[in-house]
Amino acid sequence: MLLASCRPPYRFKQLLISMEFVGFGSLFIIMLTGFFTGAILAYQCAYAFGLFGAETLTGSTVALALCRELGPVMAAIMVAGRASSGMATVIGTMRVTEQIDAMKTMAVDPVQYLIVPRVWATVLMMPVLCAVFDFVGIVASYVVGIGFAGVDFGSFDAMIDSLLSPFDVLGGLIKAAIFGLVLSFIGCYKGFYAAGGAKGVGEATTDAVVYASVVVLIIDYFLTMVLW
Amino acid sequence: MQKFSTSFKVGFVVLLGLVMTIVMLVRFSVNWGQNDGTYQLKAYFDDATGLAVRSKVMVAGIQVGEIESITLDNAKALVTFRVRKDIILYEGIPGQDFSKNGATVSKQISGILGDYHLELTTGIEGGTLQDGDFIPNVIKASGIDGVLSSAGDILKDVSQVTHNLSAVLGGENGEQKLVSLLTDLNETMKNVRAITDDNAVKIARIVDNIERITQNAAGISQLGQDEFPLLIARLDDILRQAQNTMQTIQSGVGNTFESTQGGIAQLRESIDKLDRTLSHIETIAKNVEQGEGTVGKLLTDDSIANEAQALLAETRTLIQQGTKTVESANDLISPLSDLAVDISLRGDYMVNANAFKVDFGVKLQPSFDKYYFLGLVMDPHGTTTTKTVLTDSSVDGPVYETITTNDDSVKFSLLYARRWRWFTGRFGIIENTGGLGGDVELFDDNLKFSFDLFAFNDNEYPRFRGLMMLYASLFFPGTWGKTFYLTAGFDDPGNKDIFDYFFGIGFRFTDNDIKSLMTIMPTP
Repeated sequence: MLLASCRPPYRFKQLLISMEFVGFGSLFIIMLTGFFTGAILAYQCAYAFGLFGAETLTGSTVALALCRELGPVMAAIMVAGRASSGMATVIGTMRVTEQIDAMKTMAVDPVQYLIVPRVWATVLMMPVLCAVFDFVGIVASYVVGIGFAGVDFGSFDAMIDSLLSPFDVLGGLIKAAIFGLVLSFIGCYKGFYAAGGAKGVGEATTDAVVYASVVVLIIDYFLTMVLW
Repeated sequence: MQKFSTSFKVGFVVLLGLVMTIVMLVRFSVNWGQNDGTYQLKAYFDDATGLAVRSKVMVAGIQVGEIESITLDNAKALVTFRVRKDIILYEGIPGQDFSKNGATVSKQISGILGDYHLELTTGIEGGTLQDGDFIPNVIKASGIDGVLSSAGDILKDVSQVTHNLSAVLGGENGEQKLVSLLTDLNETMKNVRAITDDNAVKIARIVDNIERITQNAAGISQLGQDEFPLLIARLDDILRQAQNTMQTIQSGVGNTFESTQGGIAQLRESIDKLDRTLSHIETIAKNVEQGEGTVGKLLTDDSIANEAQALLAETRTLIQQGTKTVESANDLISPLSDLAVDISLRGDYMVNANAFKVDFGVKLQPSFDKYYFLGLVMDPHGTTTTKTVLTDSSVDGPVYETITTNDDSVKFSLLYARRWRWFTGRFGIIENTGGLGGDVELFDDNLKFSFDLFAFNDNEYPRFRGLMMLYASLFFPGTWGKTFYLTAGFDDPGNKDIFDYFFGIGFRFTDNDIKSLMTIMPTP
């Protein structure tokens, strides 16, 4: 795939279409899940820390958890559920209807045409979606922590300063990019090698989502070890 | 969203993500990467438990830096931290164990969860600490560590006490002492039991008596607790009433005695007067009966009665003539009697001039559709007068100077107004110059918009004034609702140097109001 990426012709139009599918198409669901993830996390943290009189740690804990772990992982799972499955379905359908074979016949490299733009689009858009997830989640934690749990704004805000560094955000974005590579590759791979008609396409789609989600969680552990 | 192109959608998402990333990076960079404006300091701690890299370093509770590293150096914790350059720390005057008046550092607990920070004091003497220097004075742990340390001391004391007890009661001697002690205690208990057995009945009786007494006392105290405040309150009332009654009786008795004495004297005097009056009446009656005096003649002489009849006839004729005269006079006076008079006084606060304008007016309204208005205005903008005077007549020729004066003298208005339904047109003299204006009156004349245009020659543009009057009767219908009103408006927007806007309050009296007032005014 790397070779196919480097070799012309470069299909920017396909890349743009895939970026729209992955990025713009997932934006709403990412914002929605980000908001509620941040909100519920803030609510539970405020309760748990409140037992020790340390509610002020709510904001920093939520922000740290979102930037380092939940943002990249949840965004990746959402994109896996939406985009990875879509890739497997589209490419799988093309495979079982022999469109890919037809492309080969017409001397069009199917990897270069179908897989490379999708993988790169996901790698590029995942950090963007992760940033949106983090931002919206932190805003939600402000709303819930200060608005509903009654945590003092000053302490809430100051603790975020003291606990987080820019690298926490950047590390999360790096993770997201790697997750993007993995989940898009799995989706495309499963679709590309789908067989057995419509049933095979359905299986490929399910496998793509399951494998992508599990692999994301496993890689997350190792990436966390490496990055922090 | 179909109408947006793919490029736009991708660009939008990327831009959104970039903005959010930048916001987060900037937000979390507040305490990050400030090494340029800091310098490094070090301190040895016996125990660095709870401290962590990036823990806060504070002076007087304000963060001035953070811990850079914590390493083990010769069985001690070497804590390296950075402090802002504007925080100057002094090394103090070196002593045996302590640098006098030098900077100190201590480990302080930040919260109940066991997170710590370093607290610095800057010191006041000696040279200043430079990059890489050690803090001269390290204060041992305080907070929970201190408490635990104190608890350790207490435990040592407890251990000492138990050790002493062990020395006293331990071994064979101790055992013998303990046996002897228990034997003595046993005998004492036996004696106590014998005494109680002998006096068991008496003790039981005493206990019964005490129980009864305490029950009674409890009952009394309970009763007292409930009733006592009421009893006190009632007693207080009774005493007050008794006091009042005594005062009333005292004053009453005194007054009654005095008035009774006076009454008897007056009664005696009245009886004397009555006797005298009766005798006079008796004398008059005799005279009348005999036809003496004026009344006697009136009652007895017939010619007087005839004359009186003729006089009455003449009087009736005269009254009829008088009635006709009054009716014709009424016809003459009726236009004047229909004249309605309306007196108004209004104060407006001119915002730009920061002064009050007072407006006094009399409206004479012979009929509903027309009126004459006579007004006096004290305006803070005053009257501007421009005149050219000869100031110098040298060889070069005469020099004229234009002098502009402004005085806030009272200005005069005289207007004739005519009304058509809700619109009234006015013209005449407005504030010493010719002018015209108009009123629009709505909601049963409770809301009025007025416009005046006058002083056509004083400034670049004629003076234009707009005014809104809102009567209280719009909200509070009633007799006096038309008396009070609020005003707001603008004055002369065309001439920027005197442009102003204002708001105020006013009241007006009609002749009916004055009549109403006259009826309730006290008469001397």
